This record gives sequence, structure tokens and C-alpha cells, in this order.
Amino acid sequence: MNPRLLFIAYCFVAFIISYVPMINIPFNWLETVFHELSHALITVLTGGQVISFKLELNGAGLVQSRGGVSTLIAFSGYFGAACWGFILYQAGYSYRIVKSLIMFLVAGLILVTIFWIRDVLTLFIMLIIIGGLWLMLRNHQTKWLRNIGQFTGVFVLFNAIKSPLYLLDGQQRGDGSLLARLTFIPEFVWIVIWLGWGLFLLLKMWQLTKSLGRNKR
Amino acid sequence: MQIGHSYGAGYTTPTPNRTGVSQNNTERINLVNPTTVRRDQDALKTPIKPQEPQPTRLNNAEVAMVASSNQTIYDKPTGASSLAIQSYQQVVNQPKREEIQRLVGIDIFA
Repeated sequence: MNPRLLFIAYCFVAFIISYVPMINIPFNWLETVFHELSHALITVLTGGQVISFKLELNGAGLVQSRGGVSTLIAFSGYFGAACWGFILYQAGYSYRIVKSLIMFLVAGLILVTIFWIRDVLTLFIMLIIIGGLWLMLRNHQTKWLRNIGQFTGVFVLFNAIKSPLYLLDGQQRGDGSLLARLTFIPEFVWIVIWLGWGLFLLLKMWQLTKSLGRNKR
Repeated sequence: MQIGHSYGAGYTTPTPNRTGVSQNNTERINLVNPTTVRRDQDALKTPIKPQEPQPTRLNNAEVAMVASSNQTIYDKPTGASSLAIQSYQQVVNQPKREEIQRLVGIDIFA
């Protein structure tokens, strides 16, 4: 199948699925995991300490941390989730890379579960996600794994673009509000930055797909 | 305790003796063997007294209240004891203190 058509199909299905109840839940969890994982990674990289990593059934998530650079940690959630989506999609072009990436993710999520998860619900959600990724690895159909990897990447990026828009609710909560308090830059500006970054990565995906399609021809 | 007082009130009530002369029980206790006096009093009281006060069962809150009202100066720790108690409480509250210190400075990212 033409890579450009495939990319459009991924975008279309991802958009539809994100509005289908129940079906969208595991994908939302995955997006939340990437979001919270980004917070946690930046916390550790900036010298902080993660106290707990929490996921909710409705797709919400929470990271409690101490120390580190708060501004960077708060910014990293939506920014990092979009990056994860892009990386997953790009890795999908190579079976070897996508397999290694998923193995790396499984190992990382196991470590997160051991060190940071403090409640049963998060443990349950995390085990489902790890189980799903493990099943993907167990399937030896090369093309299937690549397609699933790319679709997951597009879905995560789609959600990373869509999620900051929920912060435009007038309520002073979430990463945008925290950044506004820390930097005195209005929340709206942060939302625009996240949205712009997500759209930029989506455009990059499209451009890379286009170039790949041209090379194939 | 209140129970003791209510019983005591019954014994110290002036009651008529066999001769019909009112006499305080406490005076008689000083004169003769108290056990015989008490038995004697009971025998005398029975027909005269309309209703003997029944012992009441106190619940925990009432007992605590009574106990606190009966506190004496001896319950208060002396200087050295209060220091010892303070040290003990520092050790007892250490985990709670650490928990609070751990919570201070925590950031939440959603």
C-alpha cells in the first residue's frame, strides 16, 4: 500500500477511534503513560525524585515528584507525548527498530511499575499495557507489528495534539496552569506551543512519508 | 467516684435507731464494730427507706469524664518525667514527622 495513503488511513482511523467509547480506552492509557513517563524522565534527568506514578481508568494520570526543574517537568508532558508518537511512527518503518523500541518500552514500564507505582488500579492498567506490548512482540508477523507500531504512534501524536485543548476550560489546573504560575507566561501561550509542536511533528511525519513514497517509486 | 458517693450518702443519712432516736451512722461506726453496725443499719433501713439507690452502669465516656474530674496534682509529671515523656514522644512521632517532611515540597504533574 502507498505509504501516503496508509498515513492518511492511520490518521482517519485514529481520529475515529479516539471518539469511540471503550475502544479508545487502551490507546488513551498508552498516551497517558507516554505523557506521565515524560514528566517522570525529566524529573529524574533534572535531579528530582519521582514519588508516585498514577493512572486512572478514564485516561487521566498523575506524577508526584520532589525536586528537579519544575518548569521543564511541567512542560515535558504534552511535549514528550508528541515526541513518543513521532518516534513510534518512525520506528515502524523498520521491523528491527520497532521491535527494539517496544522491548525497550516493556522494560521501561516494568521498571516504572516496580519503582513508582503505589496503587492497585495503576498496577492493573500498567499490566494491561505491558501485556499488550508483549503480545505485539510475540507476534512474528513483521508487517503487522510495523503497522500497529505506526498506528499507535499516530494515535499518540493525535492525542498529544488534542489533549492540551482540554486545558482551555477556564479552570486553573493542569500543566498549563502550573507553567503559568511558574513563569508568569499565560496558560494560553503554553497550549499554543504544545499544539504547534504536535502539528509540526504531524507535518514532519507527512513529509517523511512523502519522501519515502517517492523513494519507493 | 460518683458510685461511691451515692452509696455513701445512704449510709450517712441520719436514720432512727431501735429506740426511735435519730442518730448519725458515722457516730455509731466510731463506737462499735463497723460490720455489725452496717448489718444492723441495713436491717433498720429496709422497712423505712422507700427505695434504695440502685448502682448505675456508667459508659466509657462517663467513666473518662469522672476520671478526669478526679485528677489530682499527682498525675502531673515532674520536670524530669516531663522531659522523659517529651523524649519518648519525639521517638514515637518520628515516622509521622518524616512522612510530613517527605510530603513537603512535592509537585504534582497531571
